[in-house]
Amino acid sequence: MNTQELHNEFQTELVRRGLPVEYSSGAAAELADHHRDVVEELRANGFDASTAENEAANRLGDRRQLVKKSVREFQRRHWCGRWPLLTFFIGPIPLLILTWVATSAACFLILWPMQRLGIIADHQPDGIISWDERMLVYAFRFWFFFVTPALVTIALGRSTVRAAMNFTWMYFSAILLALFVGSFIFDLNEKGFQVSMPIDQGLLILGLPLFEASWAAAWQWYVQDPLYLCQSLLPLGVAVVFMLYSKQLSFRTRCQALDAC
Amino acid sequence: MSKKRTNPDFLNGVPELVVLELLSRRPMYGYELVQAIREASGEALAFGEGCIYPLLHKLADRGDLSSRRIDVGGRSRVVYRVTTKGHQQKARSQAQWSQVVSAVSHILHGGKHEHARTA
Repeated sequence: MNTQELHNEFQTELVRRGLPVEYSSGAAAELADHHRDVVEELRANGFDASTAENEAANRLGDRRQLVKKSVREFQRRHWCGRWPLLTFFIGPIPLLILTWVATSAACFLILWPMQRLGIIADHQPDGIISWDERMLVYAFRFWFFFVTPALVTIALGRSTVRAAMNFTWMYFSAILLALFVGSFIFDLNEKGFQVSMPIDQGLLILGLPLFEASWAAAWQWYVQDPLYLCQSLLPLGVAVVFMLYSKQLSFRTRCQALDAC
Repeated sequence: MSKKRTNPDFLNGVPELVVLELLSRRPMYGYELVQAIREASGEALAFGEGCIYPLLHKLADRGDLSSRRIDVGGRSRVVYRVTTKGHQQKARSQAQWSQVVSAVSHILHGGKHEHARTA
C-alpha cells in the first residue's frame, strides 16, 4: 500500500465513522507523513520500493485498531463520549425535568409581574371552558409534552453526532423519554375524571404504566388516546428523523470531502 | 511480516509519560518521536507506530502539548512541544511511576516478609 492509498483509506474510514472532515484529514496527513518517512528510511537501507511500502504499513500497526483508537480519542474529547451512560441513560429525564422547571420559572417571571400590575386579570374558575382557556391548556400540553421532549431528543442527538458516537445511544435516550412522557396525562377536566376540581382547570395525572399489573394494562395506558400515543412516540420519531437527516448530511459532506481529495 | 502490536495492558499510562519526557527535552514531530522512543528504550517498547498519533492528539487536546505545523527538512510537519501544564503533568506522572516502581521492587526483593524476619 502506497502513502496516498493509506492516506485516503484512513481518512475515508474516519469520516465514515462520523469524525469531522478537517480532523480526519489532519490525522490522515500526519499518518501519511509518517509512512513516507519510514519508506524513505527503509529505501535508504536498501529495501526495494514495494517491500519498503509494505513494511512501513506494517510498522504503523493494525489499521482497524488505529481507526478505533483515533475514533475513541476523538469521542473522549466530549463530555458525552467520556460519560455515555450518564449522558444517555441517566441524563435524559433530569434534563427534560430541568427544561420544564426552566420554562415554568420563565413563565412565572413574566406572568407574575403582569398580574401584579393588573395587565392580566386573575383567573376565576366559572365552570365553563372558554376558547382561550382551552387554547392555553393545549399550548401548555403542546409545549411540555411535545416540544420540550423533542428539543431534548435533538440536543442529545446533536451530542451524539458531535462526539461521533453511535446513534444507538440517542435511540436509547429517546425510548426513555418516550416512556417518561407517555406516563403523563394532561387535559381539561371534562372527560369524567373522578377528581373534585373545577371543570375548567387543567388536570395533570402522572401514571406509572410500567408498574401496572400486566403488560396489557401498561399497553392500554399508552394507547388510550391517539394523542397520548403521539405524545409517547414523538421522541422516537424525532430520533429517527434526526438520524436520517444527519446521515444524509454526513453522506453529502463525505462525498464533497472525498471529491476534494 | 507480522503487524506490530502494542504492549499489554500493564503499560497503561506509560506511553504518556514517555512521550511527555521525550518531548520535554525538545519539540519533535511524530516520526522523530517514534525514533526517539526506540533509541531511548533500546527497542524494548514495541508498539504500532501509528498509535502514537491518537496519544499525541489526546495530550494536545488536554493542553499538555501544543502543536504547530512548520517546515522541517523541506516538508510540512506537525511539531509537538510540552506546555507548562504538560510539564506539571509529567512531574505528577513521574512521581506516581517512581512510587509504583519502588513498591513493585520492594515486593520483588522481599518486601514485608523480609522486614518480618529481621524484626
